[in-house]
Amino acid sequence: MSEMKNPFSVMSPEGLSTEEVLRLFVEVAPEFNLVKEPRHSMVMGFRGTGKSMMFRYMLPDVQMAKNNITFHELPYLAVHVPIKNAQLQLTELTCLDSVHSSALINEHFLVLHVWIVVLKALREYARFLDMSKLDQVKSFVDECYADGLLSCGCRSVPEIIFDGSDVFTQMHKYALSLFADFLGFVSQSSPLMPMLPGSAIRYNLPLLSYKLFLVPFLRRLRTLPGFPDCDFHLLVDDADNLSESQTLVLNTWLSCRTSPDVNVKVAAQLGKYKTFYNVNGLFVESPHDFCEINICERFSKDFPKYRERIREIVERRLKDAGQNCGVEKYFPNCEEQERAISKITDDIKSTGQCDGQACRNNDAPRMARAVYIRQLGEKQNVRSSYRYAGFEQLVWLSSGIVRYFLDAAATMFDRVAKSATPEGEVGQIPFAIQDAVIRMRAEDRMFLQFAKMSVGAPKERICLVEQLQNLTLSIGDTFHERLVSKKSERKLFSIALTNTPTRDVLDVLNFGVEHGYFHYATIGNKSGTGKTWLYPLNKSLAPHFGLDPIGDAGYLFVTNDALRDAIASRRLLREATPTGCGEQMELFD
Amino acid sequence: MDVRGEEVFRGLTRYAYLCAASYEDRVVGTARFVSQTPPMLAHVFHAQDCCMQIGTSVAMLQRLLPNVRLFATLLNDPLETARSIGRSVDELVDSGVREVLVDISTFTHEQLLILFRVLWLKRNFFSKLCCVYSHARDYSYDRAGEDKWLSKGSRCIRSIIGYPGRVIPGQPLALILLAGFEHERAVSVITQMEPNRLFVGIGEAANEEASWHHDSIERFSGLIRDFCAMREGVETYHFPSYDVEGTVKTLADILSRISDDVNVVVVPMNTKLSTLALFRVALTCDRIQLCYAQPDAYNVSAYSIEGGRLTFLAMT
Repeated sequence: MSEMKNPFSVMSPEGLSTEEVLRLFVEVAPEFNLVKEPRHSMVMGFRGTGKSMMFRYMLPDVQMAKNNITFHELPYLAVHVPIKNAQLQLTELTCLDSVHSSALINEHFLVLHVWIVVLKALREYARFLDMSKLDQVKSFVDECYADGLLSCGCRSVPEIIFDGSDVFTQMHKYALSLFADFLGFVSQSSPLMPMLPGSAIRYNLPLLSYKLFLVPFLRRLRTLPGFPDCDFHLLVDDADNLSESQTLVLNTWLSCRTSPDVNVKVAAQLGKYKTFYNVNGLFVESPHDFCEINICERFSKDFPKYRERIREIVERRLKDAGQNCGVEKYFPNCEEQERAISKITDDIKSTGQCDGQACRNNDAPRMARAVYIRQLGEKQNVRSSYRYAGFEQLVWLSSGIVRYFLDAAATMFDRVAKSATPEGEVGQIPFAIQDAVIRMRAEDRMFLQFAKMSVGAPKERICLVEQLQNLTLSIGDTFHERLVSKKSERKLFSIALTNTPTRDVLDVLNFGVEHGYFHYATIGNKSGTGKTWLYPLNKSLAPHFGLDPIGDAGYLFVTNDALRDAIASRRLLREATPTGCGEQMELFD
Repeated sequence: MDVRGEEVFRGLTRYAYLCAASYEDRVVGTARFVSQTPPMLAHVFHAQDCCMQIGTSVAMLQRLLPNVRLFATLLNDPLETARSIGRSVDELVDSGVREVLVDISTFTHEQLLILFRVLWLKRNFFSKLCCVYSHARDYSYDRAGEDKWLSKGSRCIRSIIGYPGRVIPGQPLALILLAGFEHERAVSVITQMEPNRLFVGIGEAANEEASWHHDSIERFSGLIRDFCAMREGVETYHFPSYDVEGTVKTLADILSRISDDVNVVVVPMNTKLSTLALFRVALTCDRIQLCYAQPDAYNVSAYSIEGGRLTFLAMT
């Protein structure tokens, strides 16, 4: 294994220093601007799309350094509240799901968790507190701390001592004692405990509430002397790690009108957030309750911006590793292949035709690559000699997820580093290595992943896995058949539905989105009367099907019945027309 | 049968026997051995949502053991499993039998730790709490080399009832893995938990274990190391998979190096002997949270072959 530092290694944003964040983070508008807005937000994206990094960038240390401002001048005060797996979702707490007070107790736990994290952050900012204005500080402590806690059922709140010791440290200590009490309750409520003679589950602890305690506390922070007079952003990260009961509580917070003073920003993985209902059974939605930001949409709606984002991320990482190298040079394409494709492009442009059909100059590059892939199959009968390499192609293959790119790059670097001399450095990733890693990852997704999901699993899950595999193979093969055909529009990468999908088909499609085989979007329907479902195939699968991942691609309108056929028998998809059959294509714009 | 610690077993006079029906034949072999000095009563746990082979295993155990009581568990419902285990131990207490022998081999890590916790809570009712472990001759016996698999995927990761730990908000997370052959499950745990510090434990086989075992461990630990190579804050350590005292010592050493302002989560994925060691450590260190990574699927058709060796030992 190489001892060279891998510039693409996985870094937890939480562990990055201020300087590292400034060096590595790439701002992306408009998402970042939307997240900073003084309103509740929900940031959705697959793992690895940069949600946590964006939150890290919003924290005071980075904002102060970036904008060269003081703490007092901050435009907003953000605190990062990470929700780690199994941290709040204690198995014992699921006992409470059947009792009426579950929402109250879970809210107390969630508020306590957030409050402790906030206090820990405030301890760092305590040095900015102007203790000479003691009356203001005392007023805050009395009204928002002591009175607030007493009204939530705390029996005796230790007095805060204003002798120079940090008030937030004292509050943090008390909050930890409340937390310890709650963990004691968790142990007592465990199903293991009733076996002890005389034991009974009773809850006699306080009930901290978001509206009655946390919001007033956070609102009044701005009145503290030395603190910025600005809004407060609670950055709740990985909220899909909350239990369903806790998610109901968080959604209730989203439906509270506490903005702009206190804004809840929730980050979660697409398809994994447990529910969009609140404790009152009401649906929380965008834009009424929060602003929804889907990071993955950036890829499909503005690829040049996504590409430039990746470029900047990679260049910063290379520079950090001591390499001042352009990304095209670091990830070179296969020159022989590109020359061949260029020649085909020139031929098309000069004749104005491709495979006997008229072709505009603008379309020539798109058509040329498809022709090249077809010719490879015809001449050598080996689609696999097409090389998936070059920065541009790798960006497309990442399918909107930054971490896909970085993970693949890390693997490539590792392979090259293993064969490098001890004194040498990795100056570039040869195209053969790029191609090999990309293909390996695609094959892994198409075979190993499905095998893993299905072997020994319950019957209903095996069924779903097999159906998804059938559908994915059907879609991919259909797209390849079209790519190597001589049709006018041969480059496809999405399916769009002509009619409402049935439950069984939707289950398979959603399963596919959840596991990263498809993306989800909407487009205008064929009849122009509204929107319909669009499912782009994950571009990282392109190598398995011999598809061209570069550039925009068309979509195939299909019927629910055609999808059902594909799910059952892996049959190639037929194209739908307004009448439901026949051939018609539209270009994705 | 090669028996270690047989004096522990011979020291039992009127004992209750607890085991988990399984797709592995180890549980039957052990039951056959102990039935030479039959228990007063036997509690057989059976996972209702596992596989068909469990029913066959239950039937065989009912033929071999006297006074069998069945207790249903659910792999997907730890609360119900905990209640079932609780009912079993309550019955033991009510029965007046004071000696308990648990075949730890075929419980899941989660079930075993819950059972240990319940027995511990009621330890004053018992004079002896003992365990027996049946060594396997081979795992995933229908495959060779890197094709061997015991489980696939990670359906969910959850805290184990009885071991909530003290996971303080805002503190960094140290994850300690006792990894085994299931590198995929280990990778899944690491990816989902996103620890700030990671301690990957590579289980070492005893010298008398077959060479395939050593090779497999080396191969799978290599896979985990490769995955971790692209992460920061990773430390690998070795622990003796079949030596409870040795594993206790190793874990205690690691914990002593983690400061109090760091949350600690431990995930057992190695032998049940190492899980017993983890239980002993958890008894003296309540800050650690124990978590279970439930797999998507087990290799029920070819999980293991009984090795003809038993190890008896005390629970604590």
